[in-house]
Order: sequence, then C-alpha cells, then structure tokens
Amino acid sequence: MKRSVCLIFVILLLFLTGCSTQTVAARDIFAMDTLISLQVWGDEESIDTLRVEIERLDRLLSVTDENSDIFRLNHGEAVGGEAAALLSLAVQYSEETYGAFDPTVYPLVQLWGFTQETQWVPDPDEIESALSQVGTANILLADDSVTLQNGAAVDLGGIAKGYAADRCRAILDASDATAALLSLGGNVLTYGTKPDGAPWRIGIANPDSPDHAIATVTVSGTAALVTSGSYQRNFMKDGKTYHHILNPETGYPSESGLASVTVIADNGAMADAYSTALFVMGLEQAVEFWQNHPTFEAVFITDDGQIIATPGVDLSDCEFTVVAK
Amino acid sequence: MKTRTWIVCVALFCILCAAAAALLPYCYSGGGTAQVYSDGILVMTLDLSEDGDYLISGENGTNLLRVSNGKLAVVDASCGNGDCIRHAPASSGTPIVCLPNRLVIRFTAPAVLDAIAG
Repeated sequence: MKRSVCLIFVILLLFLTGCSTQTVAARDIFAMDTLISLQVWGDEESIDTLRVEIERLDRLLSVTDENSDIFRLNHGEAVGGEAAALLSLAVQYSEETYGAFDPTVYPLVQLWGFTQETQWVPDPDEIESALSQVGTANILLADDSVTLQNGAAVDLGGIAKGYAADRCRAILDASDATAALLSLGGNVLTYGTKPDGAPWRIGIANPDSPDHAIATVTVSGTAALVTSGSYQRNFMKDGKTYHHILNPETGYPSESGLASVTVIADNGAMADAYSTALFVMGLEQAVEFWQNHPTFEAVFITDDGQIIATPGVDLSDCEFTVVAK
Repeated sequence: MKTRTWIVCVALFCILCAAAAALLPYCYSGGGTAQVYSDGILVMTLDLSEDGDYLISGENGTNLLRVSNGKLAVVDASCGNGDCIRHAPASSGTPIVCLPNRLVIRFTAPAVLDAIAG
C-alpha cells in the first residue's frame, strides 16, 4: 500500500517536472513608435520571425519613413499591395462605425502636434480647414491600388498594431509555439495555453494611474485585447487636458464621457479600430453598436470611474456593471 | 490498491499544486532586482534593497534612476516627453519605458498579471 502511494507521487512529480521544462524566449523591440514585448513558449526561433515581420510592417506603414508606402501615399503617389489592402480594411471599419474610426484624421493629428514632442491647441479656423481634408471619401480605392484626393493624408496608427498582432498570430500558427504573449505598446495578444495551464490574466490600465491595473480580464487561449484611453497621449493647456483621440467630426479630442475602452476579440485589427471608435462614440452609442455587432467583448471605464462590461468578459478584481444583450 | 486511495492521492496532489501556483506570486518577500536595458542590451542590474542614484547614458540620451525604499523611479531624463518620469516608483509589474532613449527597466519580482492592456 505505502509503496503504491509513493509510486503515484513519483509519477505525478515527474509530470510536474515535465511541465516546467518549457522555456520562454523573450525579446523587446522598439517599433511602431512604441515598445513591443514578445514572449514565446515552445519555439524559440519563431521570435526572430515575429521581430522581422513587425519591423517589416513598421517600414511599410510608417507615416514618417520616406520609403514607406503610407508616406508615399500621403505625398501623392498611388500604392498597392498590403498597404492598400489594410487601408481598404480601415475604410471598412470606418464605415461600420459610422466614421467614429477614421484613418484620414492625420491632418488633424499633425495640427494638434501629436506627431511631435510638443503639442498645442490649434485655432478653430485651422481645425475647420483640416476637417475639410478628413473623410474616407478622400480615399480612392481601385482594384489593387489606392490614391488620396483633396489634400487628404492617412495614418494607420489606429489599426496597424492590431494588424501586426494578427500577422504575428499567423506566424505562431505556422510554428511549433505552444503559447505566446505579445504586448504591442499595450495592445495585448494572448496565444495558446500558458505552460502552467492557467488562463491568461490581463490587467486593464487604470486611467488615473496607467502603471497599475483597475481590473483583470481572464482569457483562455488566443485573443487580442486593445485599449484606447484618454490617458495614453495627452497634454495640459490652461488647466485643461487634451488627449490624442480626436473626434473626426469636430476635430477636437473626443469628450464622450469615457476614459478608456478595451475591446477583446479574435481579430486584432478589428479590436484596434473598434476600441478607438467606441471611445469616440461614448457609452450609450458604443453599447448599441456592440448589441448590433456581437463579434467582440468590451470593457468601458467612464470619466467618473465606473466600469461597465459586456456579458462575455470574465472580469475580476473590481466592481462593475454588465450591459444587457 | 483501492480506487478510493488513488482518487484521494490524485486529488490531494492537484489541490497542493493549485494552491502553490495561486499563492506563489503573493509569497514574494521583496528585495527584488530591476534589470536596466539600453537599446535592448542589459546594462545594469539594480538591487532594490540598496538606495542609490544611477545615471544611464545611452546613444539616445540619459536617464537618472533612483532606488529608494525598495522602489525604483526615473527622476530625470533628457527625453522630451517625460513618460518615464511620470511612471510611479515601482518594484514589480509593468516595465518603466523611456521610448526616446530606448530604455526599458524590468522588474524580476513575480507578477500577478501576465500583461496590462492600455
């Protein structure tokens, strides 16, 4: 009897030892104007493939790199291939969100100085003038190429990191990786099952203290989690805070009553675009949008600190309200 | 051996493992370290139990780090945006990042969360 019990424990301990031998490959990359942290279990070599792919997308989609397709597009050239395809997807998300997400806000972003180290509040006349260049009608999509008109300029910053997460996921699918955790400047991709078998525990940044989590989302398997928040890039002028998420309709930072929106979805590009759009919409319209597009889950944090979640979110470590389906 | 003994043994083992896994991050007693990376290269490992100031000079600029009361903070930086300075003093959790200077400070203390979206 005693010998049998000992044998069971030895066998179970051997199993446990086997579980802990899986090593993690980790790497930080500075790309897409942010820090990208990669962790991969089960296939150390795939981390190099991920790095190469992210750096390729950075070169392709940068608004400042003179050799990028987006830079050339913004300077009067026609571009095709992957940049055109992604722009087409961005237009689709823009139409789905009634223009709340709009890749053509770049003239406004430049006007406010969010592309530079110093920001300022533009004159209303300048905003009015820049607004005349905003709108996806200024993107001319034709077969496999795209051009811009009316002095428009595009910035895929609101979708590029989510798209990069999707590309990384495809690379991981083709590898021997069993699990991965990617953070693309706060856009998180969980992939596979953690080596210890536990679900992923992803915090949602506290808008008042972004270094800390205000809530925890538990995720099993693969998912993209993207947060858009007013705390991410902002500046203060005459006692008022101005953030970087501009309302394409007004040209001013969105004042929708939301401090952040986190979208959880299978598709990273969609989660990226929707998080911005829902932030601009405000809670009421965003919930209505979710009710009509039940392809994602979301967590909303209001300016006064309330947390509201869709029913499919496994949320903990906070008090929250669940919206009706 | 009786089936019941098997079940009890396996159940006990699973409970012990689950409890250990759940409690591990909370059992950390402090006194951890911070690893300082400049442009992806580990340039310094700081013992957070020893107070002191450390100047990190990289190709892109300088950052002054201060360890005090078991926590690390960036107190001065040559970068323009100052995001790293605004990061609260920390001993665990999300890394402190200075993008313009390509500086990343990671904490070795076990984290309760896998990542923070935001």
